[in-house]
Amino acid sequence: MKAEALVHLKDAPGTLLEALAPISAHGGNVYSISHFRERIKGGAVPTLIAFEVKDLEQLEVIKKGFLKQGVEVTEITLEGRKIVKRKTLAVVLVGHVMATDAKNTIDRLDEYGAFVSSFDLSIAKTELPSAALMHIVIEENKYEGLLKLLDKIAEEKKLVVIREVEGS
Amino acid sequence: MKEARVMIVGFGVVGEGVAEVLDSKKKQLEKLGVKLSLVAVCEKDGCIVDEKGIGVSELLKLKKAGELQKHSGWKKKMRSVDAIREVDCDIVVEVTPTNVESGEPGLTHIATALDSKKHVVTSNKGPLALKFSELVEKAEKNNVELKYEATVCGGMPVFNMVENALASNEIKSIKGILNGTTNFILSRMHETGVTFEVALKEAKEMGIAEEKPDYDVKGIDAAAKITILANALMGRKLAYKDVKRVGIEEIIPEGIALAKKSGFAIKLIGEITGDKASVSPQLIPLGHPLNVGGTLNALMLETDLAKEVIVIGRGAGKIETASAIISDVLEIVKSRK
Ligand SMILES: NC(=O)c1ccc[n+]([C@@H]2O[C@H](COP(=O)([O-])OP(=O)(O)OC[C@H]3O[C@@H](n4cnc5c(N)ncnc54)[C@H](OP(=O)(O)O)[C@@H]3O)[C@@H](O)[C@H]2O)c1
Repeated sequence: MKAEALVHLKDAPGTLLEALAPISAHGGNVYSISHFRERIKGGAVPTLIAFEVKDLEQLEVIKKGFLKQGVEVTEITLEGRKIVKRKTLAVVLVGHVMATDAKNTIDRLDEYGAFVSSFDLSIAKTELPSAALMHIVIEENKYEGLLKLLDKIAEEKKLVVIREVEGS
Repeated sequence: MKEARVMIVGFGVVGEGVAEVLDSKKKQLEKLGVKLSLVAVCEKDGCIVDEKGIGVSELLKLKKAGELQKHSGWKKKMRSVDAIREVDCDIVVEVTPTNVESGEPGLTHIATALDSKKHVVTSNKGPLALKFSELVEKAEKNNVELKYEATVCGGMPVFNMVENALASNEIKSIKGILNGTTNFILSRMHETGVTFEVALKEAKEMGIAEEKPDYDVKGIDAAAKITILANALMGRKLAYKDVKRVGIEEIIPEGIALAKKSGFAIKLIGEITGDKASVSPQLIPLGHPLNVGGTLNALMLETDLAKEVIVIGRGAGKIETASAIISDVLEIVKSRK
């Protein structure tokens, strides 16, 4: 059966191989790769990987493999039918990001089913407010809930949440 | 030739701009078949009234010298509300300071003008952000027009564009940069890496930010505009206090730098989507149409027929704002029988 995965690859060596690994490791057969360089966003190039799988079950295993590997996947289709539709959201947090337990912030997002695919922290001095930028991958139907959760965390921890504009 | 008598209430920056444009565009207006005469100018401590028409160049000279009271038509202690009621005129241009707590003095001025069956054109956000439906109903009841193009994004066409060029479109969502001062500050932080405090100081030195910048940097000005947009363009009964609001004071250079490295700029965005209305800093991709620099404003309307429509322009300024006011005045005059 024909499967397709839309992945977002950082423009760096080795990222394509990393994205392909879960497919080959679980018996998928890659037959085409297209990069959409003109749609580059947040430094990542959307790339469509088309591959052959035996069935949905095999595709599910590959899907989990992507997650484990930290590959940012926003869409997976099987024979043209959507299995997964996710979007990636960039968010900057400003405030005492570390002192308010950044790990707990990430864990709470994770519990909700939002996958933090990158977390970049910038601190000038420990006692001063710091900033972090994260990319969060979320199933589209959970997007609104994610925004609410972010607002809740921000309120509790007195952080400012600066999220990516909708529909960008 | 269609004639109309105009009265200016609040003779500050914008009021003066309106008088200047009435004078400098006189010939062009006459070519359009419109003759406007200025019959009253109201300040806090008195009004100048001349129903035969006030000479604008003399008026501007006196204003520059701070000597309005030397004008032959000066009526000391005449209150604006009384002038609005008593002076025989067609259109009241209400341009007193914005107050989003009480709406005054603009609210009383506008209500009085409408009740006196005078059309109103205003750049004052307070009264509309607080009492939009009441004022619109009052205008309808009295069979006069209430126009407010200049309240949102100064010189940019917004309401008149939707009413005319986008007639029959439904506005599904609105987002944009609605405040030039905060956009200047964030743009400086993005370009030069300075702190909020330094960028604010620069803005003050350049006359872009006011000494007390709260209205701008806390998002109050943008929230008032979002309220007017929601009511006027989307038929929402949104109240100003229900706009979720986060300002830009806490943004630090580290956050701007991280955003920049990932291909984003941080902008203060006013937004109405679904049932949510907010003003908050957001990440805008560098290539996005809303990523405009300096003091520019940008507004993106998502419509059902025309899809996305984007307007970019100057959100404030004496003449830019006067331009929007005059366009409203012309709309009223042209639509009169
Ligand atoms: N400036 C812009 O670029 C811009 C752009 C869009 C919208 N607006 C809006 O337009 C309005 C005017 O702005 P502006 O920049 O012209 O402000 P401004 O320079 O402060 O002018 C307002 C004027 O109204 C006078 N005033 C106050 N109370 C009055 C009363 N009861 N009766 C008569 N006059 C009264 C003020 O007198 P005192 O100085 O003696 O108090 C002042 O001369 C504001 O609502 C503002 O938010 C401004």
